[in-house]
Amino acid sequence: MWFKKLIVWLVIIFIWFIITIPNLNIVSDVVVPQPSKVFLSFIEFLNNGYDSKSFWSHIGASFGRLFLAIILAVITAVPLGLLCGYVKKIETVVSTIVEFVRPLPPLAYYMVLILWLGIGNTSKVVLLFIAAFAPIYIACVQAVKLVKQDHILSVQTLGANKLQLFTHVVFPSSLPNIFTGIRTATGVAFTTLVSAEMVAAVSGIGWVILDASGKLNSEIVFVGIIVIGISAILIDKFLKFIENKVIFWKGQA
Amino acid sequence: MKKIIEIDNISVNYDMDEETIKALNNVSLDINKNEFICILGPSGCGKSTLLKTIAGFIIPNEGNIYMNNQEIQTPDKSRGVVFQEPNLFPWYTVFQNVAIGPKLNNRSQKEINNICDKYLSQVELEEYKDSKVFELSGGQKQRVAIARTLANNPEVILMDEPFGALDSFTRKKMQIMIRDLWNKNNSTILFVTHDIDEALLLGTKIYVMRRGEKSIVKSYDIDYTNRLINNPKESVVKEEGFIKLKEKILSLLEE
Repeated sequence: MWFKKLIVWLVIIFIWFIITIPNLNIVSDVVVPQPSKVFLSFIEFLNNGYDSKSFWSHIGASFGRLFLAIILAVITAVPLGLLCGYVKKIETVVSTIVEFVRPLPPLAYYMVLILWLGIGNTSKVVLLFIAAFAPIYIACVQAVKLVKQDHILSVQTLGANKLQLFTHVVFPSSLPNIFTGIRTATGVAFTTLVSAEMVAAVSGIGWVILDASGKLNSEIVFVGIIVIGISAILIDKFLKFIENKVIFWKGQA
Repeated sequence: MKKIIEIDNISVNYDMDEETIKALNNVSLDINKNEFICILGPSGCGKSTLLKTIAGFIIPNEGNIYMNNQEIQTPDKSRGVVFQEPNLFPWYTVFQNVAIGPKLNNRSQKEINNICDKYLSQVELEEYKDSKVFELSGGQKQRVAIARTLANNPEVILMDEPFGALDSFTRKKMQIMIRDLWNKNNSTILFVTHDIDEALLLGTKIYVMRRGEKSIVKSYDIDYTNRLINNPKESVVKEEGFIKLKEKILSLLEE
């Protein structure tokens, strides 16, 4: 499978290479820079950074916001979601709010957050937290409702009380869905992050793209997009790896 | 014989959208210590409903059901249940699955180990104790489920077509094993099945069920299972009495 994907990428790069040959005059160098120039810009970016900050501090700024927000979302949305799966009355309250916020484009309420919290890191972390909360919360509520009835009955006939029912059956049964929720949330938060950095920031990979495009530096814009794309794939691969380790029984039995 | 469970004229209805379905009608029976009761009947006769009511999963609409003179209201550890599906927990190993009952009852780690070793060896799965449950075959999974129930030492074991999903070869072996376990552990079993041979070869008492005003139509005291314990080679299925009884039950079910 990876071999076929590699061929797809080689073809794309080959086409990119062809249409940017200077003598053919197919596209302007500003619109689509040559692969070699993009590569050199990437090396330059790695070595000397961008706008007096190193490559890794830009990446670190973006990922720091992302991970902080995801961690906050996990430690709040997982317990709340599981609780709401149990208690219908609380679910009604929380779900009403979540159903309103979830479809809103994050950038719409970002403006409110900037008014309240300023343009610093806090407003961005809160923005990503809100964006990541809903998918995790919804997955947890669903997860509790999808626990096999016969599993619950089995452990009850073995003498489990409510707490033991939760630790031995409901929580482990819910883990696969919780993980799916976290992966969805991370995807949503990542796209939101890049957009938020383009609205207001002085660091981060999204801001680099915005700043470079203002200076018509299309090579750095391309570098930024490629870095974002590869990071997103790596993050998802990492989460999948953790998921396979923790939930070794997924898809079995 | 000590009476453990007393079922006094119970009926269970299921409310579907507009109509009420009578799943179980006017059933009375007792379960005494050391009995191996087989509930025999076709699909839809209410035999699983009866088992669920005894387990405490369902509260009957009419009548009462007592265990040691106490009304049954919720599932608890005194009545172990083996389902048609093994319902093992895939996040636990074979050993951990069997250990759940003793663990929930705060047994010491040493006791837990002893109990698990004992019942895993009774179902011949000692060597699989650290396996993941989804690596086992269907028959092995059901044996783990049986060991898990036995490990909790329930007063009554309720089995809901436990071998229904197994191939006939595995099924035969499981029947021999369960008879042996019943005998060895002095268990009390209520076993639901739609297989006449299975009921006749395992039970000390058979209740025949079918749809109708009175769910249980007949009961028989039988002794084939004890004879097979004393002499496993005996071929009771070819006996005239066995064949006659089988025909009688068949005609009851076809009425």
